[in-house]
Amino acid sequence: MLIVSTEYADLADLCGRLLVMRRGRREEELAGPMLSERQILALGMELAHANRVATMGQLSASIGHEINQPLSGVVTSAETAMLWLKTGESPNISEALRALARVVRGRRASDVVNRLGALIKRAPPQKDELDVNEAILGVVGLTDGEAVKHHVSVRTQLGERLPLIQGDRVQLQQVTLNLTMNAIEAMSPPDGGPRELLISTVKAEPDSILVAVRDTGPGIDKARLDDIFLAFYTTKPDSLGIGLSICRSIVEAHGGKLWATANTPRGAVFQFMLPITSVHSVFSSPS
Amino acid sequence: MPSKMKPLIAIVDDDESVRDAIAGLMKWLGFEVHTFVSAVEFLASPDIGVSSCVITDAQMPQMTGIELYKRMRELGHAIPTIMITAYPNEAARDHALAAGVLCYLSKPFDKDTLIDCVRSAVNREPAKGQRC
Repeated sequence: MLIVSTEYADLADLCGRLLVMRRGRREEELAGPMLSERQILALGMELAHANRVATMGQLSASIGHEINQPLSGVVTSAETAMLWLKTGESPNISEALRALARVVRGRRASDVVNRLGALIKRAPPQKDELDVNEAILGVVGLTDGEAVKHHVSVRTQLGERLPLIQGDRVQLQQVTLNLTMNAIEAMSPPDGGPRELLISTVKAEPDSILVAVRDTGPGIDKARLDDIFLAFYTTKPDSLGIGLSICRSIVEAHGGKLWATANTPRGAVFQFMLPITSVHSVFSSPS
Repeated sequence: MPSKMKPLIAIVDDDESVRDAIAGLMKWLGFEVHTFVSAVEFLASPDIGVSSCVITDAQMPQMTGIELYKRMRELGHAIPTIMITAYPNEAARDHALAAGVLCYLSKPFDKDTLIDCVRSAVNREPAKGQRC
């Protein structure tokens, strides 16, 4: 008899059936423990990861399109303004200003992200009873590979006997995944500093659970601690700067808060607080 | 320029910011510009008979850029066409170029490439009245 956590039971079942089909055996022959629990879990993790990667891929393609559209207009209008200013000996200021006015209107690109945030808030949330620690351990499993690759040691300090909360497991896992990947990335530059990631949960007052992701990276400039949650604000060259803004939308949709502070002696701490109170009141149904 | 009419460029895009931005650039190049929010609107306009170049978005509701191009050909208009996409895709690109589209660009596009494409479109424009 195989024992797998309920989270991956469906995936394990799928793995089992796939194996039956591939080997052309009758199902009864699988009654014995052909796969260890560990193997099943690994397969389940892999499938969950593949599924998440596919979803993220679709999501980023569609966000990419939505952003490329206004961005394309902004770039062309800015270039046109420069052309008007560079034209011969008499720059055409009024035409350049008209082109620049179109650039300024392009600020609406940030509407894309606001809409996305609104979408997350509007989407009918799953009101699972969920164990925050279990959800976090699922994410730690997904990020193990990245941590090893970047020589980051990951520790968890999970509070015991935490009450269950009601919320959307996948969304909250996405928040944790995003914060964890950010932390690993922050510690990736080879500056010789320590590379420790600590994920902790604790029961906090009043009636909430506090999740903290601490890294020992270079930390965040104090003056920027609030800005990093703004859409399109980023310190990374290859980033759109929307991850944290979406994370904050998700946490707020759960009636919680997400913020960043400095870690001591170095690094950053991202914390989110989730209320234990019944989510029925928080997720008031949009009538 | 009293004797010579400016070439007319038709821009078809459902996104206002892209439409206006390209129109602005075409104006700097010295062309006459008309903009359309959909392929259907352009097909119904008298401009279809007099445009020197069509710059169209690839993905639009109702009728796509490539459908517009094929429809123009069916109607006998061999207007040099530049297609711009926000979903770059090799297969779609090959298909469009094989069908006779002059240039296939991805958003955000390089202005110099677009300018080169438009200039070559205007230069290769068939004489008025010529049908393909």
